[in-house]
Amino acid sequence: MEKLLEILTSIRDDVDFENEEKLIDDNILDSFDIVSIVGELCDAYDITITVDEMEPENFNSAKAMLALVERLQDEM
Amino acid sequence: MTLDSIIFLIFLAGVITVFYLVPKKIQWVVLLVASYGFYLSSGLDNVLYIIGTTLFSYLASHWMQRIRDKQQEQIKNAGDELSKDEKMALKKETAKKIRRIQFLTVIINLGVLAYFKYLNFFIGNVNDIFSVFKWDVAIPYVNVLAPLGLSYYTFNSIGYLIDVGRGKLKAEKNFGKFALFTSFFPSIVQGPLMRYGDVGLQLQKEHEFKFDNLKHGAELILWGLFKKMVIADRISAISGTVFSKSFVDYSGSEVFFGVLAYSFYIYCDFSGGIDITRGAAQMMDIELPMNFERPFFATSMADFWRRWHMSLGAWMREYVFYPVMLCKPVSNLSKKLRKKYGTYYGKLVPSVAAPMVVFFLIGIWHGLSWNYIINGLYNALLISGSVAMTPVFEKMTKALKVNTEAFSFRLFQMARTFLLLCISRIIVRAPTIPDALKMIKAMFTDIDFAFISGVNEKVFEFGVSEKDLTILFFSIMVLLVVAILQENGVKIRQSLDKQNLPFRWLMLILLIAAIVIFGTWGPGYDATSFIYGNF
Repeated sequence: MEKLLEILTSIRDDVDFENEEKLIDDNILDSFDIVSIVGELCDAYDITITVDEMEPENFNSAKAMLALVERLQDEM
Repeated sequence: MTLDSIIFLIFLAGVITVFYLVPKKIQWVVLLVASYGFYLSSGLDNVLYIIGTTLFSYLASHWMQRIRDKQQEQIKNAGDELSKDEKMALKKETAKKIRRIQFLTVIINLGVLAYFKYLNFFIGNVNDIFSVFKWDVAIPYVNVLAPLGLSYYTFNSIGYLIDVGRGKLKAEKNFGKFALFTSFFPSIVQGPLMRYGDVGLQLQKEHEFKFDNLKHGAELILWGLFKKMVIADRISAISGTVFSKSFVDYSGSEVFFGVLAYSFYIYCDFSGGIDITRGAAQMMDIELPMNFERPFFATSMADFWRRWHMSLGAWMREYVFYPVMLCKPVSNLSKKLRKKYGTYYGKLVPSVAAPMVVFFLIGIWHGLSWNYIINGLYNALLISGSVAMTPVFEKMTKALKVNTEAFSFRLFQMARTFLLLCISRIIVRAPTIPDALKMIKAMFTDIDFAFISGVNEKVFEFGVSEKDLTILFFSIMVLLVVAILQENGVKIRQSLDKQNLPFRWLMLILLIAAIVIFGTWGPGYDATSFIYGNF
């Protein structure tokens, strides 16, 4: 989780990724942020996030993103 | 039958009555019959086109579903016989097959749309090329009239097909239920664009009668009628005059007056129509997506597009922006740039490419004319430019010690965005692009103080009387007060519920009286179609 939080804060240092649960629903992250996050996650965890995964529930919180990463790593 | 006509309101009242009287299981059938009845009033030919698109999308979705089901069954039956890698390979192969079908069906759907909307644009441009070479040939224009709501039901169908292709939705088995999704009568004229997983499923479930839905829906309809009939239909004369002919001798201030009027016109016309649509649906316990969130309060162009025609923005984000940004060539390029030059440059290239594609499409979605194409590119440049310039802006505000949290800074951002939007509106509305450029130049260089102060009374030469201007002034004030309240989190209809009965009735009577007395009615008044009904 720490590694993920580090990545997320490197993209948006003004967001409380640890506690925020509605990053997408509350428009805290915009679509450019999401694409940057996807790029960083793919690099850091060596996974491929396709457009099929672009669901709000996968990006609403750091926890959800970690779950997505773990699921994709498992599928690799 | 336009949404602001008496006949529509009578039709709606009839549909709602039957909708709540029949057994809940067949409520969706009532909506389907009503939708096709409504659509039939626009012509029999149109019905054939919508049935064609619906049937095509229905069959295509089942084709994709069958392939996916077959693959899942294969994996299930194989059990442990297939290794993890083999299962992955099978899944990848299926995904490839489905993607091919998806691509084909999207292209065919778009092809029909292009035939109706863009054929004459191409013919015109080919003829222009011929005339440049002085060839004495001209391809005759084709007399095609796009069926009502064509781009809305085509986009809804494409969204559905992509969602089924991605496995986010299961193909709808019942053709009638799917046909209701593509034809739902309040939203067929001008949207909003809808997702099958949301509205499609709401349309077919059983709906309980709730008085609050009826009341809130009716209030929203009245508010929409107020915006459309009292403001939009009255203010349209001003922009109509300023933009009616090639740019001649309007001063910059008159141009600004025209574009200001046009901004209110287009907002009140479109959002008024959407309020009627959403209100009508709410009366039947169906919640349609929001399409506007007070766009005049936007602090940047990107923020504006989050508040204006939100359903189209969401559609573009889901089905164009993300696929472009995450497609292999773009993400590989972004990855390389990120590794070599850091996050900023890695983000830069896709941030320029994707808005270009999205806004080009938004431009031509409105219609294929150079005005729309150039306006699309103008918006794309502003948005990608602001992403590219973010570090510079941040440094500047820091160096100048600007308090970006202050209300005055927000006000500045709103004024700046509004001015940028005025330019966008001129590009779209001016008769030609050279006219637009002259108008924009005049707006910034030719300030006419006599016109602004009103001493030369030229303001009455724009097709509106003093009475009209007074009504417009007070109506826009009401609009602004409501918008400011909403911007500060007040839910108008829910707050109204908490007031005492006499006050509630007074508000309702005032709104109805304003529509009846100040609405644009009477002979010569063509219950004007909504501007977004043409797109």
